[in-house]
Amino acid sequence: MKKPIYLDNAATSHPKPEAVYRAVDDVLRKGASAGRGGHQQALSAARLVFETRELLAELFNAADSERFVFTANATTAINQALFGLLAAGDRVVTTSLEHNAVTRPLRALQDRGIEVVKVVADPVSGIVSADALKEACLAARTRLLLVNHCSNVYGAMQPVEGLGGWCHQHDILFMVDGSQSAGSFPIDFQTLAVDLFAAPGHKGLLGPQGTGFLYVAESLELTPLIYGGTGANSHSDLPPEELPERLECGTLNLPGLAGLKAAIEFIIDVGVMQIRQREIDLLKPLLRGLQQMAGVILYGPADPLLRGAAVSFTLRDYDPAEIGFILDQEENISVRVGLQCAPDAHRTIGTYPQGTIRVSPGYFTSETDIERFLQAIRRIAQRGDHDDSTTGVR
Amino acid sequence: MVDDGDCVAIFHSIHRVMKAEKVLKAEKLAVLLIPVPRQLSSDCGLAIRFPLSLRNKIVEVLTDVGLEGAEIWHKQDGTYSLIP
Ligand SMILES: Cc1ncc(COP(=O)(O)O)c(C=O)c1O
Repeated sequence: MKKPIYLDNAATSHPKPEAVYRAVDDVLRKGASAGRGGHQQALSAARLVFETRELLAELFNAADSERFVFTANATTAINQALFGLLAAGDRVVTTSLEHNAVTRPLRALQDRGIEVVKVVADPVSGIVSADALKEACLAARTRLLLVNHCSNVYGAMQPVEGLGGWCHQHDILFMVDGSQSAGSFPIDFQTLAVDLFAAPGHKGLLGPQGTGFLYVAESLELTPLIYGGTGANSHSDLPPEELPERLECGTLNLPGLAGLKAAIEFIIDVGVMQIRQREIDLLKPLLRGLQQMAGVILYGPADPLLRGAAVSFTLRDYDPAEIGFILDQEENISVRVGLQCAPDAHRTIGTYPQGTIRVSPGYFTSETDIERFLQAIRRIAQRGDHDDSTTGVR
Repeated sequence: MVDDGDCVAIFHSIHRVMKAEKVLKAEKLAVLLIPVPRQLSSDCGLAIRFPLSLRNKIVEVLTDVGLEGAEIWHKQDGTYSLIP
């Protein structure tokens, strides 16, 4: 059996830093729940949650850590933002690069009288133009501009810089889905001027699954998505007024947050710039290797500086699913094939409905892993025994 | 839990209690986290206890970090009065 190679970090990062595993184990053995009781264990749980928020505020340069609301994943954070903000008559401008975590809540909100406008990205680079977004925002009174920072299908980084300030001049709220950027790109909430920012804790932030957060800018109030106990204000049948508790009902994922805390400490320690540089160093041989292979079509920006680590390609008329299967079964290499939960993004570049092969290295990927992956693809490309019955789908 | 002469600061969220504890302990002030006494009502189940002598310093530190909204109660003869 060949050594396993994990190249699906855009789905969830793996492995995690050693300290993450230890932190989860440690907290799970200690017991107690944050904000539930005043005994020593509950207090140390509450302190841990507090420290995790403080670290997020440090990492993203946010003024106040109480504006970070913990969620189970990015999807819940996005749902909280959209359902907590939008009402009938509101208009939302977004892109054709969004994940279903955005597309589906917006589709549901359309049924409640919210207008949704999708600006289509360039079919080659996968980048949506800032001017096109602004134009769409000005076409009618707009409440929210929502942009996926970095495509989870082909890595294209979107021109979010400057959009926040522009939105505020036009009395529009600005939201970023940072699922593929948080932890991997330097992000500064003051410069980005975001009103809402959603991210999972388990991708670039290197924490455990079951973690995520929504950042809500100071001036903004959201209606809770979930109602229930917060360990405080118990005499009232109304949710507390204050963040983060207002939007954080139910027992928090303490082991997950302990892991996330250790993960953010790791990221701060290594430095986001270093992590980004590592990503670029791995992307270079990966992109070059794929570009040089006959029959490979590579999607998204060719320049590593314009992209994150999700790399999508197709190989001749191969069904991506078949390649994923061969890589898994014969090479012990994990990639993600198909639509990666973002059908609009595939429509944009013309790979709908069969999708692509997505390979996404992470901080712990080695150059040897990339080389072995490229060799495997070369071997598959040379064999010609594949089932091309899906060619007609397109 | 709270002796006569002690003060109790209450906040509107657990997050703020945690923040207060952190900044006060960083200043080496003798504070303790306690459950909110039933005579006081708080949005949050936790409070911070300290001796009256630390009150001015504590208000100063809390104000510096934007926690001036805390209510500070003083216990005398078994009853609490709000310190303005
Ligand atoms: C761009 C984007 N948005 C949202 C999500 C959803 O993240 P989660 O699975 O943490 O809810 C993902 C991850 O799959 C993503 O890539």
